[in-house]
Amino acid sequence: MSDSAESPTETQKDESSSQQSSADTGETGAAEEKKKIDVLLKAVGDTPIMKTKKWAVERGRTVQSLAQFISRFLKLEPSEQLFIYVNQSFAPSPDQEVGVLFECFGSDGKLVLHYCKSQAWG
Amino acid sequence: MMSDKEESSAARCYLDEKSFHICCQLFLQHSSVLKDGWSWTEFKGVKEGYMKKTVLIPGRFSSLLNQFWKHKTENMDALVEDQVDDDDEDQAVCENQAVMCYEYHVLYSCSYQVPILYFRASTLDGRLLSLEEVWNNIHPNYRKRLLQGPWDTLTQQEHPLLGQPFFVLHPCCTEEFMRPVLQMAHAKKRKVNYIVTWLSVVGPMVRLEVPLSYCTAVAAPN
Repeated sequence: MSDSAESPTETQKDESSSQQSSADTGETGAAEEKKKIDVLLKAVGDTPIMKTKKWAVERGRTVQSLAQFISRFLKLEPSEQLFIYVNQSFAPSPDQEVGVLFECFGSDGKLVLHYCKSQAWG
Repeated sequence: MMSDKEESSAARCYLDEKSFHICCQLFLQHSSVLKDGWSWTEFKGVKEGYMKKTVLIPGRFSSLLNQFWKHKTENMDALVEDQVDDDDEDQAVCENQAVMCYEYHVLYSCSYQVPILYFRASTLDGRLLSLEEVWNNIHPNYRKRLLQGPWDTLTQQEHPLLGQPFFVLHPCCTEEFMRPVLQMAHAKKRKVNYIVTWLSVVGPMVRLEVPLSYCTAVAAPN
């Protein structure tokens, strides 16, 4: 994914609107399949907590691209590496698409990702 | 002196040898289901063992060589009849560099109390890759930071059991990146398979894919 790709957008969805959009998808089928998935970002350890935790991210966005976005957002030092985890303890490949992660690990309409900064090797 | 609580907290972020073996065996159980090529090697009389896997992966010269290869295959008939000349031989070497053979070994380090990833890489015609070529094939997501490391993050070392030169991602940093994840798991009373978590982090740095199914299919030791 290039840097010029659309940034994740903040989502203000609440429970009721999520249910409504699912119903719409059911009626209109594949054509209406959401291009973005809801991601909930959680900090691990000493990593700064993001003010905005909920993001709507394009399915095709890679883990690497998301990590770069979070790093920039948190203004991490160049020497700090950001690791992203699914299921709290597994780091998906940087080339993995978040849409695939959502299919595998999403629940309640969102994908929970933990992120952790590290000075390791930096 | 560390308090009991501090001691057990620190201990959790390291891996004892027995747990290393158990985590590897659990890992290998899933590997046998996926048939993704991992195996366990043990030396007679020596209790030490390691996991290993060999894969073929495309090199970073691909874009140039894909064009070349396309041209080659279109002219296959002509090639068969022509005499091989110097140009063809040079090009043949280039082709082989388009795919590389990576051999990964997961060993246990007693001194660091963590697993270590050893690997060696060669072209298909058996030429070992240089340190520079291996650096070029580090995943771009990590290359900049690894290069900045104040110590030798990627070095060539003798394999402790085979005595042959392998590349190694230095184990000194393993505890540092494992610690927050393991502490979070402990706080939530979740068990973690150290090898699965560790390999999912370091593997992609050196082009080793760990399929997502390892995340949920592999149990953690008690």
